[in-house]
Amino acid sequence: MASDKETTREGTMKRYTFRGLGVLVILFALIYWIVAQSWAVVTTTESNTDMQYVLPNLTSGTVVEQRLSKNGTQLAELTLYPSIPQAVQGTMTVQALDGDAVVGAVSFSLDTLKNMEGVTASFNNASVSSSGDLTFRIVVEREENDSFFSLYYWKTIDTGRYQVEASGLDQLTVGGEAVEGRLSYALSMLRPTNALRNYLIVAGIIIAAYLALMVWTLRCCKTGKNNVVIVLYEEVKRYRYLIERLVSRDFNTKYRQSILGVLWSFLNPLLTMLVYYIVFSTVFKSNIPNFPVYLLTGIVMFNFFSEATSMCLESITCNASLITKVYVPKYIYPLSRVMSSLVNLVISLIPLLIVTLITGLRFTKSLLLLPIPILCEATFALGVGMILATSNVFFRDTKFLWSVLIMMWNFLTPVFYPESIIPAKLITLYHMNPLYQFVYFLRCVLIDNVTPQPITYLYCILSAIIPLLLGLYVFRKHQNRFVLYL
Amino acid sequence: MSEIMLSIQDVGVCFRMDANRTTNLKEWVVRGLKRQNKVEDFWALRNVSFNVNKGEVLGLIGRNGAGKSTLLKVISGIIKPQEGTVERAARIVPMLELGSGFDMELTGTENIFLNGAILGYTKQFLEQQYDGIVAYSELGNFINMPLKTYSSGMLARLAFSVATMVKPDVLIVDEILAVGDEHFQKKSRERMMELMGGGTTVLFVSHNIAQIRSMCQHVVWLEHGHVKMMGEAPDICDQYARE
Repeated sequence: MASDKETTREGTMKRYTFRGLGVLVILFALIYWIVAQSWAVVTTTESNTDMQYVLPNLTSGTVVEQRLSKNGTQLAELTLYPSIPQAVQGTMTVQALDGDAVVGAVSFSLDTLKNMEGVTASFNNASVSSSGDLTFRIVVEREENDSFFSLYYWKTIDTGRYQVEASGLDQLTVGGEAVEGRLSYALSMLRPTNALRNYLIVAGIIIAAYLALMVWTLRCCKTGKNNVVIVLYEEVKRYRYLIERLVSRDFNTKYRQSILGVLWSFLNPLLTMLVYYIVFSTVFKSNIPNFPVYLLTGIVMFNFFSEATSMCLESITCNASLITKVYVPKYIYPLSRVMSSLVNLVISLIPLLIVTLITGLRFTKSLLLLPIPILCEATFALGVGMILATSNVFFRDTKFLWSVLIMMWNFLTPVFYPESIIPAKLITLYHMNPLYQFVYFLRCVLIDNVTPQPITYLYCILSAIIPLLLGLYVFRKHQNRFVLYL
Repeated sequence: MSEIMLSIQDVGVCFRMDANRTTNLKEWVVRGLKRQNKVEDFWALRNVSFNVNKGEVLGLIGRNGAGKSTLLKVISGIIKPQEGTVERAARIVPMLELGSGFDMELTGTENIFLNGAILGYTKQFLEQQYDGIVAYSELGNFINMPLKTYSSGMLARLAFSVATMVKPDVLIVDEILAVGDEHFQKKSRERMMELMGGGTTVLFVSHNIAQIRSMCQHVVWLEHGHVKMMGEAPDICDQYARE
């Protein structure tokens, strides 16, 4: 009888092992397909657009040469800043030279240029050698030399604390004569990275670890021992239905007796967005591109976190009547609360996607990455929620404290303001906020239609797992004492 | 040799009676600074050991505050004892308080499934039992109304029907539950007797000595958290009645 049960369990485990392996491989392949293009190369931009001085009037035939060091193997574009107080007839040609070889040339008609506004020469990602410097040769041709046309340059960098002289390496010559300083510029180059190779290594390690774990599990099944996977499987099998019921209860009681019912789940973020939109586009004159989508991503993600943690916080104290009467693993309560918030979030994604389409943005394959920030945030919320739930059992003050903290957190996350208002000195600290990363990820996917760089993935995953482990530890340590304080 | 269903070894449960219990951070800090965070240990149970065999009906007697309810909570896993161990050979369905998992906003049907899930039953099982439960509770069409519209008798009937829908391996009963009007009281008492009589292992707490005497084979007498006496039902009941 007992051995019968063991063999069926082994069979089930074997089936799940293969299924899990299939899912993992497909998942990794899918992500590879989505990110391959954006991760293969990274765009690096070097710039100093400080317009401190103006070169002398560039008459017809004058040649300006600027040497710049390379920061990649493909030349994307160069932006220069002209000084052109009045309309001038003529052309300006920007040539890019790698050593002596010309890799590209772009011409501009001078009457299209505007004073102090950057003019960008695009070199279509022309390949350049990896060593040496790039030289940009600017040649001006014009019919008359009376009106003024020139380019801006700079001599010193203001770092905020002290000034640095432009280094001598990058030589600037005008008509063959050296000028101390450097043109005001922005240079973008593409550089191949190891990100994809590293991705494949990590994927390989994860699959290998998974296989090792499952082999161990199958061996445990044979000998009748328990290991972490078997326990987890049994728990899920046993309590899945309970979680389902608890989630459906949260959901049913939330909208019971409201006329619009579930509609509120997507009306709510939409109306909040409308309020923010009116306030910030009229009163504060915000000029963030795609502002409605920008707002809505922030609101949806932040509301989810705020709702999930606040519900987790009370999950133990509100279910006191159950906890003191029936034995159910206590983690079920915060978990079910996060899951019901997750259902809510999925519903509020519908208006988000609709608004995205209405405002003229298009969906690309990067949209498939949408679940990553959402699942990471749910895990993060569960970790935080477990700590809060534990704390609230012993100190009921937690609830009130958290409502203040969550408001602070709202302001620390770029929900309705642009990230650019944060002082450069604090930006690293500012990026430490996990919610920033989740929101940033979602905006990359929805607004910019690109996958974020690998570092964002790493950050999202770490800020999901570390708080979860911490939350589990705190919760487990104290859960036996809960019943005494309820 | 009969199979042991439940083995309780040296169980001790200690409640910390903070001389003045603090559930608020300010008080806790202030008391801590004044070094007033004294705790008094109160052992609600200590050195309690006994076994329950399969099919046995065991009675628990004792005065108020002797630790009977705490012991039932330890056995059903709600409280984890600080000392000793409890080994369970089967699933235990506690019937400590009827309807503790009910949500007043939900309908009767939703509550049957929610409460069933809390008691650990599967969806298929609950779907099978559903009609039986509704019929037994005699609620009729009220089953689709929110619980807050129920009378207390209807609530008790539904709770009783859900709690006794299945014959568990180990049944824990805190006083015989007879609920509702006279008709339903009779019906529910019969159901309880049927559950307790039919070879199920039962742990039975009651202040009604006559009931204990008639139903139980063995009796454990608790006093101040200790086992005062343990043995055949008639002996212990006589001794208890004398006191």
